Amino acid sequence: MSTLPMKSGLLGIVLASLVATGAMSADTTIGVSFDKIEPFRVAQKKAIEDAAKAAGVKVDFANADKDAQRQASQVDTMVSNKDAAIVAIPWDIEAAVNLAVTSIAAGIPFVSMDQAPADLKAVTYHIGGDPCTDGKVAGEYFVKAAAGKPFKLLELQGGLANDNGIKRSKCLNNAFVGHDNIKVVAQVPTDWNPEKALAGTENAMQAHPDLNGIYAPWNDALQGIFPVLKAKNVLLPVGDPKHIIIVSIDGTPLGCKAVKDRLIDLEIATPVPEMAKRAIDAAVKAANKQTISPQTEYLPGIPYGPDNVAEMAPKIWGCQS
Amino acid sequence: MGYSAESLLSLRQIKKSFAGVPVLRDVSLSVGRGEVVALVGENGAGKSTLKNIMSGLLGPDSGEIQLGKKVLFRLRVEDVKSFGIGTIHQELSLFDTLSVAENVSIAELPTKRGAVDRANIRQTAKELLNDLLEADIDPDAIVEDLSLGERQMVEIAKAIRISHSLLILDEPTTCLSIQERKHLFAVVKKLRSRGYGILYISHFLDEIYELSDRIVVLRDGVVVGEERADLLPIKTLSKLMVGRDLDESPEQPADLVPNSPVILSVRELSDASLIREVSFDLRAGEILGLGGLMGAGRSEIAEALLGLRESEGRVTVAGHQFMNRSPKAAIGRGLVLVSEDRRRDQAFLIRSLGENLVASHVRRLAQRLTGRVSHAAEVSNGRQIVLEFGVEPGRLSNQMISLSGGNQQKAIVGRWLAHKPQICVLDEPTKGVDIGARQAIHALIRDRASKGTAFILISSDLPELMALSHRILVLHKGRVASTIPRERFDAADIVQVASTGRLH
Amino acid sequence: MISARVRALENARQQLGLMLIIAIVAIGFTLQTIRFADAENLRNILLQASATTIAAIGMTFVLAARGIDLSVGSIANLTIALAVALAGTPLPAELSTATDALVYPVVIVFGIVLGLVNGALVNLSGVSALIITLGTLTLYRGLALHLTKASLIPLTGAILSFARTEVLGIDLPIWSMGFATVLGWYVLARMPIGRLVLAVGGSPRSATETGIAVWRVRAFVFALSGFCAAVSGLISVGRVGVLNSDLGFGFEFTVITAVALGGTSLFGGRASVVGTVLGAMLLTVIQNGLNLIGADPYIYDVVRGGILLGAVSIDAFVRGQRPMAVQMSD
Repeated sequence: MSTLPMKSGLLGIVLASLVATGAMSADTTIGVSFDKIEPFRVAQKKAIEDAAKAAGVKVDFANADKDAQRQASQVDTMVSNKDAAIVAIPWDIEAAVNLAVTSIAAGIPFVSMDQAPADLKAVTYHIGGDPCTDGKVAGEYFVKAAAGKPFKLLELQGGLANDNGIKRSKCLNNAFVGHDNIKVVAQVPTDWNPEKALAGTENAMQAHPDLNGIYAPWNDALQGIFPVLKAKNVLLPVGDPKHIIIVSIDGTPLGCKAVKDRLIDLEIATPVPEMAKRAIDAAVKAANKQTISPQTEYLPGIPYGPDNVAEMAPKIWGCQS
Repeated sequence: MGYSAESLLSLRQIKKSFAGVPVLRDVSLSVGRGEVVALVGENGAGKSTLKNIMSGLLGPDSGEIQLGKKVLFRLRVEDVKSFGIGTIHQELSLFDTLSVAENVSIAELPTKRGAVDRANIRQTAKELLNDLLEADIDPDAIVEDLSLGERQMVEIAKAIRISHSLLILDEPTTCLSIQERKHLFAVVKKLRSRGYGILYISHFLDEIYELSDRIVVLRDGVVVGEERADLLPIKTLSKLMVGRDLDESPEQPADLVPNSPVILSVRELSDASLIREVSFDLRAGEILGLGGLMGAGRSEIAEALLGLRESEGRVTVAGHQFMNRSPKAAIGRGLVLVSEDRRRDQAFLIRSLGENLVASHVRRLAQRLTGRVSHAAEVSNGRQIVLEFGVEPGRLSNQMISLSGGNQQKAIVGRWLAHKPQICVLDEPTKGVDIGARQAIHALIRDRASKGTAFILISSDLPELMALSHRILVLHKGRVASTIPRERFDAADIVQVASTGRLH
Repeated sequence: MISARVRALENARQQLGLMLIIAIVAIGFTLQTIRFADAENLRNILLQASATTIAAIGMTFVLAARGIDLSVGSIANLTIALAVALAGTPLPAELSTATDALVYPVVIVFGIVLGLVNGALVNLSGVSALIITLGTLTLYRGLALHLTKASLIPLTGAILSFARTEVLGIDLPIWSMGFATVLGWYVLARMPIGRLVLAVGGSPRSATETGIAVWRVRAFVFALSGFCAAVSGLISVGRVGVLNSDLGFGFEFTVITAVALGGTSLFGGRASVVGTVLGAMLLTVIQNGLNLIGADPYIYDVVRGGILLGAVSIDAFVRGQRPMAVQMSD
């Protein structure tokens, strides 16, 4: 065992980073608790690790795997470990409020990311996407594409009980006010599950074979949509007269590929690296007792389509791979 | 016969302890070809453990077992199967949701092209149940639809089906009618003559003497006596079992107080299926026996009185007509039922003895204690019942299921009598309990009756019925066939009326 | 004694009741949109029901034996992940047909193995199946996440064919569902092992006293459930075309609901494969119909809950007349 060289190597890194970051030492650890692990979260995790590296801090990562209880015990552990700050993507938006309160009471800043807790004032800082703007942009696109003609739209819904799901739906529909030519023929709840998106699309197309558009408020829904369109021989590129207009949100590799393949018309990509950077920066700042202003920030998604994907790609995280 | 019989199964110096408590200490026992060996002893003597070792469910701690010519340390399921040992368990090892035919053959289902050969198992069930045991049970019926007596017949058929050398019967007659019992005895004798070895475990000494060639007496895990049945007087046997002289004085209920008031009056009680115009009066302090075969309507009358079964007719309790009957309303009027299948209906087996003792009592107690049940009250009440009715072991925290059958029964009878009911309906109160518990329960019934509680006693055990009752109503096919006062009690008469509906 | 014929009629009546409810629901949806009632939608319903039905048939055996298997969704996920890792390759360019065909044996074998692990743990530990499979639910899912690194794996080749092949104009998943129904019914109702499953579930004590190898029966039902879960995983993944970490998440609830709806007792000893299939159909028909008529998304759970309660109440009503009759003799 060659522990000695390794130890001295580590020591070297520690010393070097101490010099580099000045006030912040490299043994500063920020606890990170994710609600679940899926491709989108994997990208966020990587972005957080990159941002932490840039800020010269370590992250202590935990996955609650869709369990509020588990997330609570993870946060408790981070508090008792005296992590410098906590960055969390809440699973249960109500329970997250309590987690923030207890953590802050123990003197540890609590930053929520992506998913907004029920009470935003409870957290030290929140950085999220802007689901309402994303929904609105999608809605406006459909309005423009319909160009005043009758337009039948299938709306797949993510979660009915979480912020992203609710606002992506509500603000889409708000954009249709005054445009009676747009008819949402079905709103299909899916619990963010691609299999349910598949069955829902299958069933909606059974009832409305003349569907004009589909709203897929998260990229994984595309996995459910494409097999159905293919089976019905309407999986056609943008521009084809029988093409069904699809707008999706997220900006994952799956979404980027669909845009590049000209299968979807518009994709609204969440600025993942930026979100992670702001979360980590705020956490580091708060750990150093600096004030953070504004306390809440929302980052609207970056819209892109088949025609501008080449020039937009550098800004879209899902187009990097 | 007897000692000289060729040995089928021999146990030698068997020892077995549970959690350090010795249950069997050095037991030797053998059953030979063509003999009936009776195993007797009070509850807790170790009979069940011995039975479980012989049927391959338990291994002994030490000792050896000779099976035919093989010497083994313990019997395994395969040994039991290949040697053909069948066991009738007191707690019935049946499967409620399967058919009679499937139950009988479940241990070895014959197949035809991969599927259960249903014609075959139906035929087997018919042969065993209908032909051999002369029981009228449809092989296609589902076991949960059968009465307890019928289930016991199925259990017997199931054991005989497995058995081709040795048959172990553990209290096989507790739910049987007189008629069914007769058939079973004939079958046991027939099997013996075919060379079967039979181990017969029972509390009924008359059965023991009728059937067995040899009697083995177990007490506290030790064989305290072994003798040919014809050489062992009943008095000696009883003494061996309990280790003390049993009270041999004939059991007599206290004389009825002359003109004691009629407390329950039943007029023309009928139901849709069985009971036909049953009328009787019950006086305070009276013990009224209900006799008859299984299915004559005895338990059904009890259920109709309590409102568990829809019925027509008039029921008057203490001068007030009792309409809209329900068990709860009945308790309110001082009418309680201690029903036949105590395990299923009455005891919460995994709860503690203490909780069981107060289960029905809690409400009354709670009301008295201004709505709150205090633990101390619960405990003291339970303790009182334990002392009064001699429940052993009387530690209130013991789980009910850990108590022996007799003590469970004492606890349950005690629980209901603690209500100080005016009228108590007892359905088979001493089924499957040992002599000591039986005597304790009898004494309790007589004592309570002398203090004014009226009893309706349902029992398939004729000596019990005759010993306790002031009067016996003999039922036949749902009707009262005869009412017999104590001075005219005669076992033969009662059996005749029960089986034919009249006295010739 | 209740005659055997009355009893058989009663069991049939329970299934007839479920069929009646499906019919009423179907008529209700047809009145809303005629497109509910055409052949294409029948195919949709059967396809959408196939994965749930097959897993539910396996679950019927587990519940019949007084067990429960919460790990079905995780088994579906992990077996597919294993197939992808061991036999398939995610990228078409690297795909070799030789290993590609191995995905089926891998899925099937691992489905059975993971089921047997459940059975072995239940047998050896003596802990209730609920706790054991709650553990393996997390364990198997964790292993799958580890294998796939939680990434989305687009699939090609043989692993998708199962869900996408038609035989005589009917999709293979629908054939499989029909086959599983007939086979499941036959095994449970006619074969010795089916009777032993009900015996062990009805009374483990009696089973032990009768010399039935209870552990073997338990191992069998869990292996069967694992096998069925793996097949349902093949169907799900074949339909969607990608393996994502969400595959099979919450699947156990749908499956157990279907089984319970079909009249199988959650306490063992009483089970009906036909009932299970009808239960799964009812769940699918509700979902399909609500999608078709474009129902308000917030009404889904209300309708589903209401119809389920209705079905259970009708079942209770049918059985409700029994307790009084049990004691009767003739």
